[in-house]
Amino acid sequence: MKKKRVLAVVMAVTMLAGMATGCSSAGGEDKGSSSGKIELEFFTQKREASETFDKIVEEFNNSQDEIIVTQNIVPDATSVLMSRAATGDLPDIIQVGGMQDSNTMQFMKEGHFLELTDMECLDNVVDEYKDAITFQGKNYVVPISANFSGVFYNKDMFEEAGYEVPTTYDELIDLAKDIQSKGEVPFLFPDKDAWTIVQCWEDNIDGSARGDRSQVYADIANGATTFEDDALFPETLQKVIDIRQYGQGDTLSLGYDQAISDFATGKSYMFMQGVWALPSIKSANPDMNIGMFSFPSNDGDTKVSMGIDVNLAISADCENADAAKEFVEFAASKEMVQLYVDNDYSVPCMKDVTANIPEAEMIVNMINEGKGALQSTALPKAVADERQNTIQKVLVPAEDGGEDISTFLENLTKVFQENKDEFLELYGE
Amino acid sequence: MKKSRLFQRNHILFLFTLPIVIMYCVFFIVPLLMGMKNSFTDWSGTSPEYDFIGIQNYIDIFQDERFRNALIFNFKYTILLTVGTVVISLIIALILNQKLKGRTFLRSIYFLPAILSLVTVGLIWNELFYRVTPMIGEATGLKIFESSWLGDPKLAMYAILIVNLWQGCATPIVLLIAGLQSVPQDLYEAAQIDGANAWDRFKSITVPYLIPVLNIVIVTSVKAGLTTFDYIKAMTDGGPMQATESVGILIYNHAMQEGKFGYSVAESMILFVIIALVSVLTMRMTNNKKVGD
Repeated sequence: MKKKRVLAVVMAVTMLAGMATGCSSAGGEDKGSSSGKIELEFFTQKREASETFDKIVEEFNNSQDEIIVTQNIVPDATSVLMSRAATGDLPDIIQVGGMQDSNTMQFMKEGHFLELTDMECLDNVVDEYKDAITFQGKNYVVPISANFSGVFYNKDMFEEAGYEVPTTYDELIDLAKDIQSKGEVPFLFPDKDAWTIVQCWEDNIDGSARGDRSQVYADIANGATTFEDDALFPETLQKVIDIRQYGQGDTLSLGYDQAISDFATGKSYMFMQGVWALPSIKSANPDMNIGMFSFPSNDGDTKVSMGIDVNLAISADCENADAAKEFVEFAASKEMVQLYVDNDYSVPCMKDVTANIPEAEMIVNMINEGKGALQSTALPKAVADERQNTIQKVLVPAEDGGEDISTFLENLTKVFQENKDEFLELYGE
Repeated sequence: MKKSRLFQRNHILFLFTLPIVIMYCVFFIVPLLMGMKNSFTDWSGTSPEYDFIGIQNYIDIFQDERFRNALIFNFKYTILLTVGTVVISLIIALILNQKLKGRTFLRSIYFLPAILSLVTVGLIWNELFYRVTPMIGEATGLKIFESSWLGDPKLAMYAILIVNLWQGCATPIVLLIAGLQSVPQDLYEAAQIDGANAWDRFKSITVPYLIPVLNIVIVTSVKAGLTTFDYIKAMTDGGPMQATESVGILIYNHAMQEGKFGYSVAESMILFVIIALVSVLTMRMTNNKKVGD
């Protein structure tokens, strides 16, 4: 008798619990249609651009009255996006990185993005970029803006010291030596954040000398060459190390944000980064007179390493795909892309939109002359991770646990060989 | 008759714990079992499909140098953290328990770090290490202070440890002061009459009374050391050169950044077993000595 009563109570509680969960999930879905409008979530990952995205979203919401888009930006967005993909809860519209970004490629490969090949706005993409944004002959992302790497310099300090922008690597080193001989700091290297070393190597130094990397990666995947036998990789990595003697010293302790505030307050003459650092530098010191040049190659035949910075994608599971496409068309319209690049100091991916970055005029001119190389090939994720995880070792002497260049490059080749199927599957003939 | 009433009473008491039991199952046991399933797969964390690969993840982990280094780091860190916490908070608690001028003020000062948010603490100490350490080095001429400890693979762990102790000792100090106040004063007087010196009194009266508190302090700091994540994330993020990569950081990186979800779950299963074993051991060890035993 009593046992039955206990059992009844247990079952009642379980039922209640079940109802509670049932209710809450139903409530969540309700929210979407309560206002009679379609609500879409626009997930962005670029902190610096959130205000600009807000403007675009606001314009869109005011332009029609069927769809309401809300921007969602969270700290550590990549991790959040990963875990939301894991639980099958991807946001409707997602701002992702370029095709040179392993994370973007992983999402694309795993089928998380809706195919967008027939969207009108893609016809307006700058012709040179069209190839770079297709994946196995199809389109999954709409590019908005591209960025580039280079060397920021403090124009006022350069002028005061009578320096000119260097055009070859040797000139740059001479300049750095001269600055150092005066007891001042030529460069700041935020090597505490390992990604900045990778960026310094592959985009700033290697990218400006080589241009597009697609071919060399394909050769490594096919076994035609290796990282250590390539004509440029060992040389450019050596430059990464060499140039650090003109840094602030103790480079592994400085973080990215600290470096930006130090550069903005005139603690160094130059700072190697991507153009995305410009808004932060300017907000740290609005009066600063900044210039930017591409890292000079040996013979002065310098290129500009570019990457697509902001891509828009739609989740494959999006229930209101048409509405989401409507928003993407709107955000990729000439007016909105112009609004975006004006606020973000980046290069537009759409025709008839002009880049407006007075600080980087020199580089923008180079891009207009056709010297820009858009990076469109991502390393297999395991290789990209291994590189970022171990690159600090090449900056540390062997007795402190460091590695020499050839050990580091050989290891990268090894990891690449282990994961070459992943690469060939994506980019193979 | 009596027995059945007791039985009934226990049943009713059990019903009171039911909400917690259910929540514990739903939010702890079920995810644990789901995780266990994932640890036998090669799931990337985002892919819609995955394969069951048996215990391959576990085999790989035991051969993985990165995991081994992380584990060694964890144990070193745990030992230093536990010893440091016990010694430092005991000393400060003893001092603050004396009849000092401004005792209450000092007590609140020592508790201050505990109310700061961890991210703030990380940012403050990042700047302190980067900007102040070289100044100390210049002033004293000591080579060890030449550059920030956070950028040195050999010293980064100690830098994190200092910050962890700075913030982590606050609560144990409060607990120990409470423990010290529970020691009957007449025992000290009696011992003094018997000719016991200060050390004898500390060893034979104070310590036995503090054992239950020390118990808690040791168990919590062992657990904090083994699962350490937040201080590292806020200060070095595992660097430089993965010198401060704890198992917690490694699990996070594998799951959230490197797309090896199945692998990272297998790692956390191993960490779970280790923590369970170590916790049982510490509790056994510390439970042996109590007042009256």
